[in-house]
Amino acid sequence: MKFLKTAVYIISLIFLTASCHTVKPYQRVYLNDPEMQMGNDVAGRYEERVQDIREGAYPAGSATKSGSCGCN
Amino acid sequence: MAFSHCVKAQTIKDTAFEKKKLSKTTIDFAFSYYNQDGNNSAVTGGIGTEKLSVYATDLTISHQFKKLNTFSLNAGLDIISSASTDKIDYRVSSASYQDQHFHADVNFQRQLKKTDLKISGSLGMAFESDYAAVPLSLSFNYTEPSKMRTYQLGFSCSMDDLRWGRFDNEHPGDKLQLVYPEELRYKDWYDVKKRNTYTIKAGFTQVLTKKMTLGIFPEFIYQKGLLATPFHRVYFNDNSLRVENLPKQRFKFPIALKLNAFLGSRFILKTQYSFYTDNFGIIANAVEAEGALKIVPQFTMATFFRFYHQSGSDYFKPYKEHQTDEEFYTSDYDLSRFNTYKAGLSLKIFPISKKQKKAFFENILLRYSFYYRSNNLHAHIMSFAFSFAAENKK
Repeated sequence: MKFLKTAVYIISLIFLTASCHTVKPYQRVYLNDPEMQMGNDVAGRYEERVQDIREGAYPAGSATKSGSCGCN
Repeated sequence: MAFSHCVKAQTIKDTAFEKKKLSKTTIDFAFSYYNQDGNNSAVTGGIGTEKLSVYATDLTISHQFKKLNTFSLNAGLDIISSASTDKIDYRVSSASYQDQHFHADVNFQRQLKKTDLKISGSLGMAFESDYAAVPLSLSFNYTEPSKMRTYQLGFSCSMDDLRWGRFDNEHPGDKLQLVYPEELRYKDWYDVKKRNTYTIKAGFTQVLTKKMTLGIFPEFIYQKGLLATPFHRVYFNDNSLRVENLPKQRFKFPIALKLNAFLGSRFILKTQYSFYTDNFGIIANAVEAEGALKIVPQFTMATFFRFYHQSGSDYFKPYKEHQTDEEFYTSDYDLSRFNTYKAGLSLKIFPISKKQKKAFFENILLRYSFYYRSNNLHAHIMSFAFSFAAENKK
């Protein structure tokens, strides 16, 4: 319950902050940098798969797919 | 005013002189090596070696055409040497010591003409000696015209069959069946042999400033069928032995918050917090940070650290600690209470002068990680990858 409350606060903060700033297309040089993207590179995705197998939790926001039992 | 003229001039220049890209083909290749050791194998009931080596290759060929369509093919082969699965029977270095994992899938993505909405679908297959899967997915990705927010929604489903014997050269013609530990093959322990996994993924990203982006990624996963592993032993406190048994349904709820920011003009800080809970009783929290330094525009060096904690599953107990009257039981330490720590280094090269060439390397990557779990399992992970592209321009 405490976690849900925190999540609601964070989401509200996102929307409040969003209304303050608009980044123009010519100001996007940093945002368009490959390192600023949310997804992992191929090596990072392999490590997410390892974590998915060696840990009880499934990694949210990852590109991890089913298709391996991970039972080794 | 002067600045707006400058921007206008840039726009005119781009329109007038930039070659029109008709199609682009990209080849992404990755090789990873994983080496693990530990002493809590589930195959031997929570004791015994977990020595494991995996050589993994992955190849993706993507072809973008008519600007809006992308078709991609992905395939990979993992060669696995496992000392723990070798203990399913008592013959050392028997067939269960070596395994292969092959996977392939096709993906098509279409961007709508009048709005920045991308729709993609994929169909795949995956095989291991004890596993066959048919995964399929459909996803939508919308970017607002201002490019300040993106919304993602994805549905995926995987139909898995856990019967053994697809690559069994020793007994060709034998029918597929679940493989239990050698001394427990006197009966069928499960009435199901398959499992289905259904996933709903959502994603929302928000540009906060010209140097900062925030993302939130909630998911919901429902699994039904055989969720236990047939060759995992469980030893009870009266010295009896059974095959692992877990519920036939599992609900998982993971969520991740990510914040990426440029600090100055060369340093990028990527942070992530993840929360997870499920009906097996596992609650997990993870924090991750990566600092990337752009030494020159073509060369980036990054270090990263991750800390993860999970509470143990209600169904986990170590070797010989389970009571015989329990309904569900496992001694798989992947479901136990532990912390994990991961740290590493990555190097990325973005070769220059791609504008002059029709074919070029987009990036080359080297990455190393050390992974430690508080029950003394430790692993080294090394990856090498490159992306090569060819463009057809007029």
